[in-house]
Amino acid sequence: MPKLRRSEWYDLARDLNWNLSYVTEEEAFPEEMSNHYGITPNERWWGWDEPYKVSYREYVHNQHGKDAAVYSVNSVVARSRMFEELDPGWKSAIIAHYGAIALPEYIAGIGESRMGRFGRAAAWRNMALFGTLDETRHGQIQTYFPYTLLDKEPRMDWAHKALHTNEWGAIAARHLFDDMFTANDAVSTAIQLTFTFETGFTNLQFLGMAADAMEVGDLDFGALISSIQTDESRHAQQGEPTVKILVENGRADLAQKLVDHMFWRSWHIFALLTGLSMDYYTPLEHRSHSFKEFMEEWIIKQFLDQFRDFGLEPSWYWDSHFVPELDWYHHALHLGVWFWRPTVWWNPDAGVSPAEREWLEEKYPGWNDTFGVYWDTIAENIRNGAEEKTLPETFPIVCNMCQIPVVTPAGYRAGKLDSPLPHLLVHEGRQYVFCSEPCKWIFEQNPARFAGHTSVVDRFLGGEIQPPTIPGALAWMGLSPEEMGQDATNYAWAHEGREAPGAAAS
Amino acid sequence: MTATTQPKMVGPVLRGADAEMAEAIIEAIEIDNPDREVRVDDQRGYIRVSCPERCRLTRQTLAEVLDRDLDIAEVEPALSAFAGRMQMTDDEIVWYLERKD
Repeated sequence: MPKLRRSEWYDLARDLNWNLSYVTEEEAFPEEMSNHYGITPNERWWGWDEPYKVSYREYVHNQHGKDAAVYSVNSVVARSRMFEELDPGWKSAIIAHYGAIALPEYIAGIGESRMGRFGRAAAWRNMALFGTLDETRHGQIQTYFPYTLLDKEPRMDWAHKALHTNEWGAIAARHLFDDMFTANDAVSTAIQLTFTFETGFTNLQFLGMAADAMEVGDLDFGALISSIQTDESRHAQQGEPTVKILVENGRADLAQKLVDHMFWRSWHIFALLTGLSMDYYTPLEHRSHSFKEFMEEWIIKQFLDQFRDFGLEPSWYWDSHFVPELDWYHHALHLGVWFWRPTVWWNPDAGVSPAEREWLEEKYPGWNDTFGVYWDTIAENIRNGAEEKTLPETFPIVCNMCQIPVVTPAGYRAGKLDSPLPHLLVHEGRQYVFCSEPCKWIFEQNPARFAGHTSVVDRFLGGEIQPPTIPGALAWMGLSPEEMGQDATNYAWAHEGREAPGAAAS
Repeated sequence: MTATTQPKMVGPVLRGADAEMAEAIIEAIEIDNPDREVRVDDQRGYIRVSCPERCRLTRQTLAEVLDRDLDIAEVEPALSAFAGRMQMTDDEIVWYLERKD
């Protein structure tokens, strides 16, 4: 049977645009769902044209092949001893990944389906339909894979559980994802989810970690996440045509603001998730690059080139705040997550044995003087049998934007901040605390959107968490004693090279 | 923000788990970009293939390398990411950047 070339029928089949006569445009595309940002009527969006095309037939064929390949790896690996033999730190990285990512993939499907209905051009709605199916696949596959590991690691349960709890990292993830896709209009979702988050940041976790996975020998995880990314790189292309329409209609300012807002938020969540996994949890001998090197490859080179090509510019905070944080922010978060380890669902790997410290010093010159000294004291306490001194009795201050603990004192000590103090703002009688100027700036751009949210510490102090003790808060977070994080290697690192503690220090 | 003077590199980031397709795409890109340097950075989990400023992959060359007919859409399962922007037609994929500064 002769087959038409795709280009001979594609536009005709795709561009089902028409002028509405039975309802008004506002009724069919309400502002909360589909803000036109002054670009109206809808015809002005009809030139939306995705650079990366796929027909439904091709889509089904490709997706079937992708799933068949990945599930066959999973079923082979399930019968092997591969998982048992993985490094404990690496296991922590993938337990953290599944908890933070699996359910949000389903939630991303809500954002995609909103664009699939309320995108203002048929071509866009068509791409978003594929995006919806993609995200459904990612939710299913990333709950199924950990499910197959449940008999070996009960905390794989958090792939499904985490987002339904009040664990602080889960609150941070929910706050971000509600801002980006659950409670966002179609235009902003295209710029913030598909362009900023997916074109920019997901590569770090899904390809950077795939490189590490292949080094570690975790074929299951490596095959899975790199396959997911082949969907992302297609549906992420909803960003470019949306930016183009905004720029052509004189709204480059809006595109820029949406990027500035979500770039910073994405940076903070990936510093927490990917930063710790790459620089502390991945076994030293299998690290392909440092987190900073991956950031330079994927964000500072690749993503910056892409968004500059659309006429956008690096955000106002790029040189002053973002670049300096690359040297200290995730190291500070790691220290905090390890110290507050009972509050997370994975086992944080300290990752500071003498050899690992040497690597950290090489990748982040000055690390020993700025962060190593904290670990010297912690290691000494462990060796002296004073584990209780390495565990929390109170909670840290949490940022009212990113919902991640405020770690400014470490940034100040590293010489990257002018003050160790958090940033404060009083808005309608309530005081808000922020970890950084960009987090405060995001809040100030749209206070009504964020003002009502209470951080985990606000809830603790407000009496919502009873009893108001550490055990009370842990129970409120959904963590049973068996689930609470412990040091991943039972402090082996603190005893290694004991004869010369801190030998690598300058 | 200062612009770099080096040419910007663009091109596909291939999924390392599919070796046959990845190798075929690399070979095809080398044939399809005769006047450009083609860099291959193999990170196992992903393989970054790049050319300065513009990188082309044609359906015909890839079909010849694989020794079978294929649609350009069949590249997708191997395409994890890409540097630059992308334009896809029935016969080719081009990765490129326009901004000069």
